[in-house]
Amino acid sequence: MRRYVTQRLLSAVIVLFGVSIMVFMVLHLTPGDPVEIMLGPTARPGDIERLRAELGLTDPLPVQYVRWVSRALQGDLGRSIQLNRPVLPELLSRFQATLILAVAAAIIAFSLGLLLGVISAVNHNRLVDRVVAGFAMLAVSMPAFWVGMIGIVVFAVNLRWLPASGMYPPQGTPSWGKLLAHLVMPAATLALVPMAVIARFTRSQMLEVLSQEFVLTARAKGVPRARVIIDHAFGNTLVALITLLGLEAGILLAGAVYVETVFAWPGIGSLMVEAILKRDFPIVQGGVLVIATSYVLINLLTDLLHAAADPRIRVT
Amino acid sequence: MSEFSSPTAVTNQVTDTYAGRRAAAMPIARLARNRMAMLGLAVIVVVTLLALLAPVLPLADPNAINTTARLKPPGSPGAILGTDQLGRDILSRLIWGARVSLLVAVVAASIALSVGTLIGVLAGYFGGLVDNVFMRLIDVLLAFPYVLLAIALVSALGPGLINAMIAIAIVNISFYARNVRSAVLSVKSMEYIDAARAAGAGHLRIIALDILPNIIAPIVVLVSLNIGWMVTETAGLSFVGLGAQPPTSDWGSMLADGRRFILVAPHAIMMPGIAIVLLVFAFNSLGDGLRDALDPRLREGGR
Repeated sequence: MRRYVTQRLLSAVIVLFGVSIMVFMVLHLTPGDPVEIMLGPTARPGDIERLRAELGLTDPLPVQYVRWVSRALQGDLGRSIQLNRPVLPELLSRFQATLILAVAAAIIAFSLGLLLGVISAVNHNRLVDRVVAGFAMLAVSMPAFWVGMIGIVVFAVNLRWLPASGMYPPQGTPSWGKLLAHLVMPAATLALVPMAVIARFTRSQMLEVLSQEFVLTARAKGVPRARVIIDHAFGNTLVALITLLGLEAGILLAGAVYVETVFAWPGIGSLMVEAILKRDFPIVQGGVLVIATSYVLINLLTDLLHAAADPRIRVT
Repeated sequence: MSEFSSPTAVTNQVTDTYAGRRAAAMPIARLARNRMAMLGLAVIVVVTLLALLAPVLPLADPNAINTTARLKPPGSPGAILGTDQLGRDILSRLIWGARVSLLVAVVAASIALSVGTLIGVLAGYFGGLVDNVFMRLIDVLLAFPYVLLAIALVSALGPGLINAMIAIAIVNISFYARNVRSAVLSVKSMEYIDAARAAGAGHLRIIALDILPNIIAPIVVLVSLNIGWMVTETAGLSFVGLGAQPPTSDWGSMLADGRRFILVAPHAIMMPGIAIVLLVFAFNSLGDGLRDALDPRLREGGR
């Protein structure tokens, strides 16, 4: 186990190094001079030169890279051009909102996805199975930003059950109840695709386990069918489900970009889109770095969890 | 010495082509029996035909602004699917938009497929250092949630349809590279590869004549499963303003336009949305059907 952990940690560090180079390069590949954008069209050439030297943009690229990484490691990701505030605190507060949204979506996706998957597998090839399969296929084919808009039209505009956008009402004191009301629609929208993926995965895993001999043995011994399904089959499916965690995290973080834009949820995804349209590069760069780093860590955690739960992984 | 000098290579080749032909007929029959897949194929063919024929179809000018006929509901005379906020005919814009959406998806898929296959074949076939270097690069690409990577690349290249297409292509290289690599690995250990090598065939010859033909089935499945995603992704980038820029419009930018008027004219977002769902659903059904017919090993994995 220790060897496996060291190996995985090492490869995570290498990947993070690659990520940092890529994020750094993205800014330097950007057409247009960031200094000219910062100072605007009225800037004098002398000012541009002076600021460029001040910001260290005249140094060789490797020097700039090392300086940027060492600052980033100390939590200094620069200042936002638009907001004129340090990038990191802004990113972290927005990331918190994204996390709330993603966790809520994950809870919905896993509970419904597991349920639908098990129901499908138990009713293999019957009508229920086909309906669930069709629903899952439809769910992965619907763009989240469109589903979200329909949700707004139906539940916020016509039925007036739920608020249309934001995280809290613009006036009044924030409370858990208000947060929950604002959270329902974005979380349900974001949950749609991962739910379908989990349902399909659970179904195929369950079918595989259910066809194995120990299940037959259990049934032959007289263990009730419901118990075999829950204990024997579902228990074994759960271990395989761990591998889905990383994939799901990716789907959620990606989908969050669109869902946050549609519902004006103050998360990191909508912040990044705004920042790109306003050419606020420090925010984009910092945002990509923060999300990619957390994604690498989630995947690392997934692999370690999987190895802890399934000895076959760490031995080979 | 040619490979035909070895009697075993000859027999192998003969039996291979024979079994190959029989094996190729079966999946097509299996696919034809899959109603969902056939329905998907029909939708794809119809949408493609409409998109190709857009210039000759009797359609209103998709960009003709008519401020007296703004946001007309579906069923209005002269505008079956209604008009948008500038009085432009939605049906016409949908069909012209299909050209953009399909073209971007197909071109992006071709780029990702070629680069990904090249990497996958080289990594899988040569193994060792080549494999290690390529796969670590792919790991870095995979460290970004895919939409985020597309967004980061668009931010570097600047918003626009071509740049969005390039970004979507780059994001998907890893998907093809990894899957092609594992397909190559499973083919590489086959006896006919050893036979070809024993007969003196070079690397290039083995890759071109023995490896590639045998991984075409999984590649077809990958493409069909991937293209639907590319349609959604193009629409998504356009929706948030990073893809198609006016006056060009695709289904995603139509959704973005309609979004400001969802209170008064929900049809402006319904129509492009339904078009996206229909086309993506069609590609996914066909992809699923192809996978079941051609390569059951790929069942439920990937995205």
